[in-house]
Amino acid sequence: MHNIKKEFEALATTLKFQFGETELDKIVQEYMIINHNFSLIKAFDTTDILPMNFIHPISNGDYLREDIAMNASPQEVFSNCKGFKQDMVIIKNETK
Amino acid sequence: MKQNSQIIRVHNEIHLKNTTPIDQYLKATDKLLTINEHNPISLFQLEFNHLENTDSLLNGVPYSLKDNIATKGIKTTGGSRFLEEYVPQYNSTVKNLLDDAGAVCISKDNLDEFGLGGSGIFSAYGIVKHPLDNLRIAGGSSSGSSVMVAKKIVAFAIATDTGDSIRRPASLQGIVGFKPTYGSISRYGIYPYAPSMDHVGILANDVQDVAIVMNYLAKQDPLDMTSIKTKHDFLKGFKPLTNFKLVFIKEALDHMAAGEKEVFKKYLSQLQTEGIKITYKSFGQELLSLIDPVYKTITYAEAATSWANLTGILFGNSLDGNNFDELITRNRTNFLGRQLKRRFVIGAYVTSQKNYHDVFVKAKKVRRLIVDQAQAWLAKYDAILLPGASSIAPLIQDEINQKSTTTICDDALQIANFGGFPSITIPAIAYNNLFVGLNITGKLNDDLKVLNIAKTLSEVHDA
Repeated sequence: MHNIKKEFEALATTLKFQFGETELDKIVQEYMIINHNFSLIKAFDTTDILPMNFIHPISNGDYLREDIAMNASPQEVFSNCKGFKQDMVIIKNETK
Repeated sequence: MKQNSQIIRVHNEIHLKNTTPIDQYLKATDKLLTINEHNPISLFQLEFNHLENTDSLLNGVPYSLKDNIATKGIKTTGGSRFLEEYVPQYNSTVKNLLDDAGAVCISKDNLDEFGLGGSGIFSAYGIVKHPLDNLRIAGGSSSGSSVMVAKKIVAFAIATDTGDSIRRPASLQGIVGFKPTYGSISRYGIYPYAPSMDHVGILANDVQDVAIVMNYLAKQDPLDMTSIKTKHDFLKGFKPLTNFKLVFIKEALDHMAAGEKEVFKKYLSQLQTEGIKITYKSFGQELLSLIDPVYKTITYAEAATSWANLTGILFGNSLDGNNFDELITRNRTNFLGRQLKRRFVIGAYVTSQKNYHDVFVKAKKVRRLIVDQAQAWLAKYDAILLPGASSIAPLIQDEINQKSTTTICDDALQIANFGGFPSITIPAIAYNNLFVGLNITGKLNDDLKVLNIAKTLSEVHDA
């Protein structure tokens, strides 16, 4: 508990903001609940690794929305996306 | 036949020349200003601006926008002190589409800061109170927008839903709240919270009004790369259904408050007596208890990423500082609300190198398991049912003191955000003169069917 508190304090400095002691306690408390719940799910550790990315259909192919969620660059998103790759080829050919 | 659609009523009055768009605007604004004196539901009232579109059902109809939706030349604060003076240079796509349809935006509505918070108590501009009991929360994060609709100031409001931000306030206030399939309504110009789960949706007093607005907003948008093409005709296709199968998450009932549960069970029995087929099935206690940590882990991480640009240097409020670090630290310390700071710290922590696989990756795997299970159910049933909340609106004081807790009944609304499923909350029961709604979630791209089921259940209940 003490260690997490110290880590959160350090993290707040990295993120460049400050908060009071009471607020810090509340953050630690909230994280402990999340962590406790995750510690109960060891059963899933043996589950086959499921695809990390939630593939969502769009009209001209598939994209990996996790990449977008994590603010990947457009180039990274395109390189992971069959549909967009095809589009890029078409655009390139049309502009030749 | 009783006309429940506020949009059709206003449209008919304008068409018959019993009223004009400016009259509607003035009437709505007067009402808003009176209520806003005691309950800060609106952050800005907009001047009358109307683009005539006589073919449109929305022509001259007053509506409002949650203040995390960009409006050109009009302040869009996101409910945050950081963006207190921020004026976007462009309109969101939803604002442009509604302008084109002739709808009249009268207000930018108060919200939990940047959509983070489920109660309406986390705005920098004051706590939004329940329209029927000012000691209770309105629900959030679309707190102001939901009260605008519940008080019938506007016919509909446009808001966002990342966990339940449209559907939970709708449940607590006895109105309709809908979030469509992920990508159905463009998110261009919408302030992000957690982009993998953010949806734009609609609040209204009647399901038909939601269908009408969907007809104008469900358009593929080249400016939003997550935008999808919608196949439905929400006007012609909107009708009651006769044959459909529903499945209710059994554990959700067990986690409702005792009094509300009894009334809710009677409501479900009434639906079944009227011929609605409902199967009660266990989703699994373990999966349900993981929804909350999965939601927090993923959305907090995405929020911390989405708002890493809040420095006060390029945009937003800024204080003086002697160097780069001091400037940003002063800005973030002073202008970020406590809910944001809390979520940013945890979001950064779960994505740090040592926690990435044990927490963040695990959360994403479990999200996938939850979505897989919901999809398996939706392959056999037309929709999944849930209570819209575990209880009536909690007291504001209990929320502030963190005495009010949500249960897996409330958390289960987030399944629709995990999977991007269309999901609607409609009025269901009254308890102690307050409300709990019924939530209906369908499979991806079944938006019209979800609305039609909602219409059917609303009519059975009204009868």
